[in-house]
Amino acid sequence: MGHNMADVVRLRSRPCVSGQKYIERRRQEEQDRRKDILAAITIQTWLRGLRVRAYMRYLHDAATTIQRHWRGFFQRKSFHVLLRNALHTRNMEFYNCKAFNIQKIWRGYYVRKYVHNYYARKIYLETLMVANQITRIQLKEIVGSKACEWDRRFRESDEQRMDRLACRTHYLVSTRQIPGIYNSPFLKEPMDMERRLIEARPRINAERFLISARNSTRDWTEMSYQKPCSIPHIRAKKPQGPFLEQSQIWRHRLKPLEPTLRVATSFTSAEEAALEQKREEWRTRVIDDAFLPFANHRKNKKYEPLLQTSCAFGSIDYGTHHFRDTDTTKNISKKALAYTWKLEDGRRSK
Amino acid sequence: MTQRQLLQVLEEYLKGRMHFVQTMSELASRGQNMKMLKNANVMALLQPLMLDVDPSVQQIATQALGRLVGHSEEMAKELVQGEVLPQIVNSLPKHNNYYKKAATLVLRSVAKHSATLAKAVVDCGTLDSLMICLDEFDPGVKESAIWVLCHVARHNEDLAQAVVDAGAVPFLVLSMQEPEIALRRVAVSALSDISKHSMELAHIVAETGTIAILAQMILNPDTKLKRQVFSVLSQIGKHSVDLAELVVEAEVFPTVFICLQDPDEVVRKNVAILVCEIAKHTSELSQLIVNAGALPALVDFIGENEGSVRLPAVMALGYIAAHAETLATAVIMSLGIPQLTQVLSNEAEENYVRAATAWSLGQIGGHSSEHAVAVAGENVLPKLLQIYTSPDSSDDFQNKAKNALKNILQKCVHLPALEPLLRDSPQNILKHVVIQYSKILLSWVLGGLAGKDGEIQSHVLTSRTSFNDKCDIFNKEVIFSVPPSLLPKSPMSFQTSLRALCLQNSLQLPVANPQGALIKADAQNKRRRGEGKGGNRGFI
Repeated sequence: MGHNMADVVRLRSRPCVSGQKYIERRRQEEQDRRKDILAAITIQTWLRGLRVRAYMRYLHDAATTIQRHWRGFFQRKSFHVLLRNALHTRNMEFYNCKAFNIQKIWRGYYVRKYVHNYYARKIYLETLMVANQITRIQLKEIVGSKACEWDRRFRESDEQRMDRLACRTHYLVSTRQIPGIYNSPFLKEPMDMERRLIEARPRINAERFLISARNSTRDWTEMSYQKPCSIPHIRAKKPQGPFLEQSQIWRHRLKPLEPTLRVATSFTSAEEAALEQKREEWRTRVIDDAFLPFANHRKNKKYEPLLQTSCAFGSIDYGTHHFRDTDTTKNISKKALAYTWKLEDGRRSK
Repeated sequence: MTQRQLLQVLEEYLKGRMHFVQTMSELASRGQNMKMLKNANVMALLQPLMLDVDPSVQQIATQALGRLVGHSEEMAKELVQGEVLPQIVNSLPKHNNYYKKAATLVLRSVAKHSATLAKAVVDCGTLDSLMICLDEFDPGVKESAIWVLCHVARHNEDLAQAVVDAGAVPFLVLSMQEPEIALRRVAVSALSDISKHSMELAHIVAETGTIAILAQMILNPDTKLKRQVFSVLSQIGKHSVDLAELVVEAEVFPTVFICLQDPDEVVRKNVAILVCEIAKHTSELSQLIVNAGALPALVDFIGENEGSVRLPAVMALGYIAAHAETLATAVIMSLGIPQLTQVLSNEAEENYVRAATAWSLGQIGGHSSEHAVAVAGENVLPKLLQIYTSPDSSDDFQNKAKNALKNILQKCVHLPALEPLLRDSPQNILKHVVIQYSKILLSWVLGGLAGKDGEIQSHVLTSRTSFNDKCDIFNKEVIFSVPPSLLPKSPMSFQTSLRALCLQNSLQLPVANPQGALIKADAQNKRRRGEGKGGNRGFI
């Protein structure tokens, strides 16, 4: 009941408002009320949605901006680290490659030079073959020369053996009546053994002993009893002695010569010693001047000329007679060297 | 009886004794009288005469006894049991030189038979008396004394050590430098007998500066001295590397090759033994010897000599070649192999020389394929095979031939050399031959030369069938892959032989399908195939 009397009056006084239309209008309004409410709700919903979305969008943008800035900042910081690591790895790979190369070359070189050197081996084998040839030739030479000697010795021993045989079988020599077995009538001349038999002379016991001693391939003991034994004394002989010890004897034998001092010094040792002393003194002497005694010191003063005047090259040109004196004899032109300088008017002074 | 009668009787008795001992001495010097003398029990008669009053009877009796004992061992044992030796030894320093010589003859004759007798001699205190004898002037006495030492030291290491402990070595070294040849000979032979037993003894002998003196004696004209000198050097050098280096440092080496052509056989043999002992130790020593020119000397030596004299030279070549591949090449280039094959084929009597040759050939050929080819080129392999299969070769010989064959075959990839071996070799050798064949075939297949030589394949096939008969299975990893495109083009024989080879390697194969994917490829061989067919020809 908000309507008061004034309103009623006002309403009644309004010209066009008829009650009917007003009621219809009100009725229509009542009918449209729901529709209007729904429409209003729709509009409000949409509007609210718009507002919220705009707000969300705004928030999103704000967050994105923050995040963007942060990410950039952070990544830029860690980018340096990343970059450094990447650079490091790339460097290491590069160095590793180079190191591999060096190691590869070194290993190849080392193995080829020290472990299995093909060319050294080849040269070694070739030189060895050459050396073998040389060795063969040398051996041949040496053996050749030795072979002569061996031959000679063999022949000599053979000769000696035949001579000994001839000595033992001297009875086989041929006589005038009976020719011996080595002197057959069917041969033109007798065999060599015949000559030996003729030349054979009987050997006395001592010689036999000596010869067998010289060719002692047998025991010493077998030789000592070949001479006929005389009957020894019944009482046993005392052995000679006393002898010095073996080692002493050897020491005496092998001692080097130690001459006495008298023998060892030469005849001219006195003169040599004097010479030696002189040389020694001359060598160590610093001052060669004779030492003059102080007594006649003033009288014995020697005049020492100037180095310049006593010099072999003569005195120099400059200033001998007077200051700035020059010797023009040796000049190419006869004039003396003049020192001039330029004056203001272009002349030269003298 | 007057005094004169007494003296006459005594003189007659003395003459009788003298006559007896002199005759005994003469008889005992010949070996054929021994039995007679033994039966006549002469020893029992002579023993009391050794202690006779008269010194010359003593001497001659001792000498006779020495000669008797020298010929037979039982008499020596009797003598030792009769306990006469201590008396002899004790009286040794007191009497004159003749007695010393006779007494040392007895000692020597006893000691030379066996080690126990020698020990008995040493136990009587002989060595000290002998040292006194060595102090004498007379070279004959010294020589006899050194002979005793020689015979004592010969038997075993303890006796040699006893001799050394008695201080004999300096005396021996001094005696080596005396002018009498017989004394030098016997001193050197005593040193040789001492040093042959062990390293310490050899060291003791070598450290007194002996080697330098011995090195100077090498070119001495006396034959027997040279024999002993080389014998000592080889005994010293054989024990260890240091001693061998000592011997080499004495600069013996180019000079001893001259003596390889000495007229005396024993000298040559001893020189060869010396070279062999020194070459045995290390490759540096072998190289040193080779640089000094050993190879032409040894090869010529083998060519010019016969019989067991060659044995050490052959072994020396084997040792030299065994140490290093370069040295083996040097041996080959010095024409060692023709000489060795000649020994192998021509040597009639001494089978151990042939055995050593087989061993040497194995050492030379075992280094690489070039060496194996060089060895096989002289038709050596069939000979070795023949030796291995012939029933009248000794076990040792067969072993050596087999090892040599194995060594050479493992490196040989030369087809003409392998071919003759296919026909009639026993299983274990044939295994190696077939393995080598498979290697060659593989390289051919991978190199694209498949089906080239049908004949070879048929050979392999026949050998393979013989294997199949005997049901032998091997475990070898020679599995190869053949690209299937190659198979249809190759002839049948090749395929069958391939199959046969795979059977050999105990792979399971579908029998009905000769073509097509026969062979399983190994990952390894896939890689090989990937490397390129042409590049694997020499993959061995």
